[in-house]
Amino acid sequence: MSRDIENGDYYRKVLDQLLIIGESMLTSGASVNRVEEMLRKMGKSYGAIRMDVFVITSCVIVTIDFGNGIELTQTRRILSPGGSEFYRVEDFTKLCDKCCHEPLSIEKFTKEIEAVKKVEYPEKAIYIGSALAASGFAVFFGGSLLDGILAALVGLFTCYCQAHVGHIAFNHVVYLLMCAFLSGLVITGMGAISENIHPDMIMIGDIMLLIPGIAMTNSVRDILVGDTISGLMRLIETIVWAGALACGFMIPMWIM
Amino acid sequence: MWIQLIAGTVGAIGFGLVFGLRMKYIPVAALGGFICWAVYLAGVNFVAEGIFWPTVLSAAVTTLFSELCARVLHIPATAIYTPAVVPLIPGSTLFYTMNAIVQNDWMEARRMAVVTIQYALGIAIGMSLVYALFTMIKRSRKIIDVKQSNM
Repeated sequence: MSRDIENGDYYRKVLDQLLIIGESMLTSGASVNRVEEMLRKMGKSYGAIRMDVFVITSCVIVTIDFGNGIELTQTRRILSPGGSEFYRVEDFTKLCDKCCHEPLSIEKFTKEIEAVKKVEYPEKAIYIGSALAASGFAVFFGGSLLDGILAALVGLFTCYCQAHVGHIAFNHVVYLLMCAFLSGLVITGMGAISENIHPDMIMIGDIMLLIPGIAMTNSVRDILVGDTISGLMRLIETIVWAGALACGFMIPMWIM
Repeated sequence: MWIQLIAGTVGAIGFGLVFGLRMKYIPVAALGGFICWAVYLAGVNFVAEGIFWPTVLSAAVTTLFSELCARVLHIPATAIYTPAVVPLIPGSTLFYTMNAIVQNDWMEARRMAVVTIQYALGIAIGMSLVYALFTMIKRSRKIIDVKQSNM
């Protein structure tokens, strides 16, 4: 390790790992100011005398000054719109807290990051969650129990689409448009079967799964907290996404 | 009312799973979802008419609940807060707004957009208030610690 320090490799590795953690936390759904705060703390615990961290939802820039004439800057461009994987955010936060109290050696730190990234959430739980959420909100907004049950079935289908359309979609707007179109097709089909079924209620339940409501609220919070650029970017993105969803759900209605 | 409370709680559980919350914290998120909607309903009935102030109140109480839970359970507060606040999320009105735009009904679009903004702003303000409060408490604690160690 001392040779690493001499030729500056150590410092580069520290910055590398910090960026990986920042990127992973951001794409797992951690808020911008939390990631900034975490990276700043981590850098200090690894010997930086000054940390300049700039995080927005699409980019992480870190300049780290070790005080011995070594000052490094690296950038990560983030293309994924970011999901919500709170188990991962939780694990990364725990790892970072541990490192802030007692910095791990850089090799061990890299291994721990890899281990956290490998943990996957059971797919079954996501499907069950989608069904519960869709049925819950179909009833919540005024649907009958039958609507709730049907919304749960469509919720499973929507979840399946979300898992598989992502690989082929050109970007997030097209992805949402396709998911909404396919789900809308199934729902309008159901509505045509019986008069006791309220397709609008089922649709609202399933829309809750796709609608970027949380992202929109978080963007307003970001603006209020002072992360204006991130907030504005996300706010505009969510409006476009919501538009794509509306179009996606409208097309089957026009067809029918 | 009870139907909405139960449905909201079920929705919060569902979103807890969708957002990848660990199983052991799901009951906490469910309780958060229940509290969120209960406070909102209480706010509408007893505090102020309309959407905005009940939403601020409900979001603030839900954030307070999740911050306290986060302290006890040692997890990020967002993990509890996000599924818990879902019943307030203006998902349906955001959709109605876009729906009206797609159908070329601009009056309805404007009306629904205002409702959506009220919800989104209300949640964000309620959340930011509690967030600011907790940050200030944390900072003042740090200052007190430093002063004590200097004595």
